Amino acid sequence: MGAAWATGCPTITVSEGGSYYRKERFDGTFRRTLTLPEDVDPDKVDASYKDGVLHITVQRREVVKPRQIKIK
Amino acid sequence: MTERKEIEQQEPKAVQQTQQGEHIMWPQVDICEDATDITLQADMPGVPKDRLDIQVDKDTLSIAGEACLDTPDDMEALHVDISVTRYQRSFSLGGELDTTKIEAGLKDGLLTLHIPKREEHKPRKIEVRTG
Repeated sequence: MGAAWATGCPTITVSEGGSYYRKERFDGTFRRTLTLPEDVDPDKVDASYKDGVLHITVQRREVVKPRQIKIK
Repeated sequence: MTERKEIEQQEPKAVQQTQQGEHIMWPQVDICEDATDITLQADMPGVPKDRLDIQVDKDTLSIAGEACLDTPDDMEALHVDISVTRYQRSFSLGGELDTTKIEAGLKDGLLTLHIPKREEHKPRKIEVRTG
């Protein structure tokens, strides 16, 4: 059994005691912190959650966005 | 504006290379057994239902999926933890399992399969007749 798990292709069988069990997935709480650039706008943060993936969009402050100056 | 960092990449142990040279990820799984079923749960975040592929061929169960990570076209990654978007893993199923009655569900990136045991491997209660 150990060798099969090492190759990632385990054999799933019914055990006599009815207690076949394998745990690889993480459970519990988690936390991750990221440092953002100074020019982000903390009031303009959007978050969405889809298919187990969290998307966070953080906007930068208007003043530091590149602007094109039109020549009159 | 600070200097743009090189793209950092960490390849978790679950990333494998197939014989065809394609990089895939093994989804991490929990497997447990009760009186009537084996339940397999696999972490496949980012995979929508229409990109999931579950197949049984004789005694081999294969699960595969493609994670759809919607990065806007005009954006470039500064940091990437996982660059592989293809999940793939196979399992051998014991003959005590009924592969024709597998049920699958997908919610929040978690795939759940219920694989029933064949009738003769389920516990039976024997009724006692009173005379």
